Amino acid sequence: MRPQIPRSTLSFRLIASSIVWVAGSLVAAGFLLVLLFRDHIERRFDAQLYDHLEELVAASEISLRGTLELTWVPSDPRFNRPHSGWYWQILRGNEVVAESASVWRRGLGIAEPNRDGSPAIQRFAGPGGEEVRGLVQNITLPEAETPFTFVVAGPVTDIAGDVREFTSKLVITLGVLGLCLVGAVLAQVRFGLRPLRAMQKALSDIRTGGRDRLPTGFPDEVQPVAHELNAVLDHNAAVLGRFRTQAGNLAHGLRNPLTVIRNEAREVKGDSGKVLRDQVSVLTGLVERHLSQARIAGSGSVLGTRASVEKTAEDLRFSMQRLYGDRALDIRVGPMAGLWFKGDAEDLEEMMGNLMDNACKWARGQVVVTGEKSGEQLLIAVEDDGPGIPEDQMNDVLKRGRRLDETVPGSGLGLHIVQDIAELYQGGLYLTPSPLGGVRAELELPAAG
Amino acid sequence: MRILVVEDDQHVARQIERTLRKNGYAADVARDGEEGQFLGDTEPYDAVILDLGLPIADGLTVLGRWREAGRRMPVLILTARGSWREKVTGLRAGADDYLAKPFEMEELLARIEAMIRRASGHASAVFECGPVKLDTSTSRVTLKGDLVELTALEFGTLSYLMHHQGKVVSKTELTEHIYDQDFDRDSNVIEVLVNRLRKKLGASLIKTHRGQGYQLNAPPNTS
Repeated sequence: MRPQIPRSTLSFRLIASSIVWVAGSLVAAGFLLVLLFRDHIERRFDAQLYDHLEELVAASEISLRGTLELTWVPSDPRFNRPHSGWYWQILRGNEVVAESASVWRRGLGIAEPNRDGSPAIQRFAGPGGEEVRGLVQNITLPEAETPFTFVVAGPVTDIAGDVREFTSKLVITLGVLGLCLVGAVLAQVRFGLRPLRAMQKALSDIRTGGRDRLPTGFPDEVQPVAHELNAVLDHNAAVLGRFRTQAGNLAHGLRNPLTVIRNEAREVKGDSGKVLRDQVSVLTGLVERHLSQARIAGSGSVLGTRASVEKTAEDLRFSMQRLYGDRALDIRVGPMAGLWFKGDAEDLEEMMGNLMDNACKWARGQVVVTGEKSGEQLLIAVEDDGPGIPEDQMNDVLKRGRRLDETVPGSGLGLHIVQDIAELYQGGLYLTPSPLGGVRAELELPAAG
Repeated sequence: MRILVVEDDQHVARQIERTLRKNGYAADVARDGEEGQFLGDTEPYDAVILDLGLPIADGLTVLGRWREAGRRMPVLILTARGSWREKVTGLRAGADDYLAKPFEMEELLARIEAMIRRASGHASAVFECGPVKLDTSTSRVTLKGDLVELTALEFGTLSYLMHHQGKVVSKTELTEHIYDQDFDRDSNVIEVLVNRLRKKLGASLIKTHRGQGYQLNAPPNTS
């Protein structure tokens, strides 16, 4: 467990409510148990008192003179020890007829018997000032004319002591039980919430591009959430697909008329022809730029997408070899197994495609593509052995639509689009001189697991 | 050189056809994938310009079927979206080059010319035969350094023979490659064209193999 659980967590809610409930239940149970125990102890105590009273009554006889005489004295030694807490007394009215030795010179407190002769349990002060619990009963002996009041009493401290001892043991027992229950709750919460934690992990994997959907096999309560999340992911992908199709359709729709107008405009002579051609090329540039940007998926637009750098590089190497077949270029792709771009495959193709195409246009004989993963970053470098760019002009090349040499075909937008896409992914494009002699174009992009 | 243009946009198709004819190519136009595939299967083309977004059967399907059937003519695909995904898919399907719309006709001609040259195994844009030089990139023919004016059909005939130098080319083959499908194959126009070329470039340039065809040969004495 973390040292501090924030109030808003499910764990906190579950654990706190369980602790309150467990503590409440244990306190209530303890209270009830103490009450029951006290009742039980008192009943046993009273049973002793009844035994002693019966013994005392059995020993009582009325002599011929009409006085009460005891044929024997109750044997319990506690009745002989002064102020032992255990006392007996026999009264006729308020006159003491007989009493135990333990009363010893001081009187026993006044006990009030029930008039109907039924036994009564009472509390009163003993001769030592201590509180005693006594059994008081008026009994009419066979030969007597008036009833005698029999009193047997024992110390309340005996009961209290037993109850106290029991209570302290009970508190310890219940305390241990409480700790066990809280421990069980913690374990249960951890175990019970594990699927949620697994889902959180899966979601973060999706965000970092490690997977594209939530797995199945969550418990029944959580699985619907996983289903819904997957549906949202699918929906996102579908929406992106639709936008791309629309952008593509728009591009397709515009490019044919543009091709026609552009070529017809070449036939128009004079100033109006020039105006027409200029406007067409402005239009072409706008369409080109906006459609290529509409095509860019961009980072985070679809969770969980990732693209294999190796496959993309291989596809492009094949394409370049085909396109530049007559120049016998040596296009080498370094080891790239296990390199994944955290983003859209088409975006990666667009970036690497433009860079490799540029490299092939300028290369004398060699193009080298390498990739490596450095922490969360993916570094892809495309180098050529062409004439290169003077270092002070490296930055100019990246400016919008600018080309250093207009003689090599290309729209000039290539590098700029690469930069746009890379920046959408919080990455970058850097141009440096290559040890091969030409340009080293390095792409910095987010890597996926 | 005979080119098949498979393009559904009639304006673009007409422009390409016009440009090709003006530059000495024979051109057939198909408006959908099915017609395009049929023409590609039945006629001997030196190159194909194939739009990817076609009705009935799309460009990639048509290209795939041709390559499966072992047809090796160079194919230039016209992509409307211009994405690398589209280019890679097209090249993987067997295309030789691509051109993204909108394009200029000069660019298209340059790509077609380069593609045909590459397919014939010739590295340079300039073909030479004795004193005669033919530059496919500029469509100019020179004799001993002097520019020779040729009509589109004369240029087409010479260009085809130049691309197949040393080989005997039959009259039918020549007809098939310099005329489009609407042409009446039985006429003797080829003989007329060859004779005109001999007149302009020297009698010994083209040798006639009776009953077999024509062969381009460097004359023994070039001075």
